[in-house]
Amino acid sequence: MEKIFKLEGTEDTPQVVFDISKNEFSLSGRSLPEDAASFYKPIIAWIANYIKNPNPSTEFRINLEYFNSSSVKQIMVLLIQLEEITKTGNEIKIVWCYNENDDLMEIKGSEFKSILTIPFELVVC
Amino acid sequence: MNPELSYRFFKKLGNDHFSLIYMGEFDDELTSTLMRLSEAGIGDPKIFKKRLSFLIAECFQNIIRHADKPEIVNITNNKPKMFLVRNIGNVFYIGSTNLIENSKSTGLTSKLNSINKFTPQELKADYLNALTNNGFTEKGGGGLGLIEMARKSDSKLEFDFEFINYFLSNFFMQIRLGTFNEEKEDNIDTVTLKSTKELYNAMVQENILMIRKGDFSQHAILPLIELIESNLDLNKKLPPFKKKTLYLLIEVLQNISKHAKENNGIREGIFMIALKNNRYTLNTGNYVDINDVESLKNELENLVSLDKNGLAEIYKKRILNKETDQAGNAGIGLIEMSKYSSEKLKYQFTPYSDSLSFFSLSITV
Repeated sequence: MEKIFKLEGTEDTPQVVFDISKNEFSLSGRSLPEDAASFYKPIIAWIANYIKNPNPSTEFRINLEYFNSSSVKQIMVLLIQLEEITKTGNEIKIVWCYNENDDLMEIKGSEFKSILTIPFELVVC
Repeated sequence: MNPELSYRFFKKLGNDHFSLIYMGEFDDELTSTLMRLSEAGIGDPKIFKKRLSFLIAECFQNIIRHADKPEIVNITNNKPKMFLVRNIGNVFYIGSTNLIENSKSTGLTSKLNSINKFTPQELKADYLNALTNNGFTEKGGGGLGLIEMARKSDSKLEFDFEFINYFLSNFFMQIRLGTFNEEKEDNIDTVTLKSTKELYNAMVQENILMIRKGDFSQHAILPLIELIESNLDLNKKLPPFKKKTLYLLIEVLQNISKHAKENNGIREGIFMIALKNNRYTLNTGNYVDINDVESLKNELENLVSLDKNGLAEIYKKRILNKETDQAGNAGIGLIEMSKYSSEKLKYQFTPYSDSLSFFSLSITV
């Protein structure tokens, strides 16, 4: 599989950086594509491959400014996949960054945290 | 806010392919957002593009430069400034409304009347004269803006004053770009200044800050979100527009673009934002297939019957469901709207034709 997966951010899609060698995994910016399922398909596919042979310790950072509800659903699919990592004895942690005044990102983070069973950190940044 | 309003204003804007009516505070930074917004919504009128952009900018800046401020703050709230663009076929209307001191209205009236009487040659001479000689106003421009509007539009500068009190009147002005082909387009109602005044007063009465009618594809939505965010930041008297509200805004706008049924070849809808009792309401309206009404109604009835916990539960269920078809996503959008609004969703279906129904939705933030 490709060691690096990168997408530049646009005004309605996020910047995606997955870099196995640097152990960097992040999703940031805006995510409000009209067709979120198609946009996230290759991202989810890459992660599906990654979890088969992950780094010993993975930190997945999410820092979004705007998003739509269908993106939230796709991100949930992505994060649920990451739960698999613990089954192979490796570590995974989600870091959910939100701006101090961003009530919505904070609420969404708490929602995700309550649904997921892996370490999930809510951080003001 | 009554969901029926979406339908009422959709009807009022009748044949418009595109309408944007904006009320509130204006500043120079908004000009470019507004131009992007108009250009994104208007499609492809190449013949006019330059003139149209010029007139939009000129008209908009005229409001910024020349609006007078009332001494009693209350009047600003009751008589907001307005900017309007409406497109029907290949014809565009651009209009503005702002307060003006009565002491200036005589001078303005005679200036406008003389501009309206000029031939193109006389307009050009007057323009050159105004360029070299800073007459008319101390704010600069010397009436240049008005002369340029007259030169670049295809109509007279229509105007009127609505008396408010001893000191102030509301000044309405409107121009047209393009001309109707009377042989081909017999059913076109032209947008009269009288109808613009009625529209203005109806919007004020319902506390509407903005109306946008037309196509709601993604490239038209993004500048709209930007405009709303910057307008509400600009106007410090309004309650803060939180991220949650923007989320709902994105949802309702994308809901139109995803689910509206085409009528006469356009997937059109209406969006309105209003402020009443310090709360924002987002209203939308669009055509839906008459066969989808039952299931949509059931979904909405179910959501309205649920309390907070019930909504959280159904949200969790849907978001964990791996099915990612359109319908599933639409369901999530409506649940999110129910979760983050302060009142129950209000909606209405108005039969329109044998195959279409008009769906109005109102969300209170």
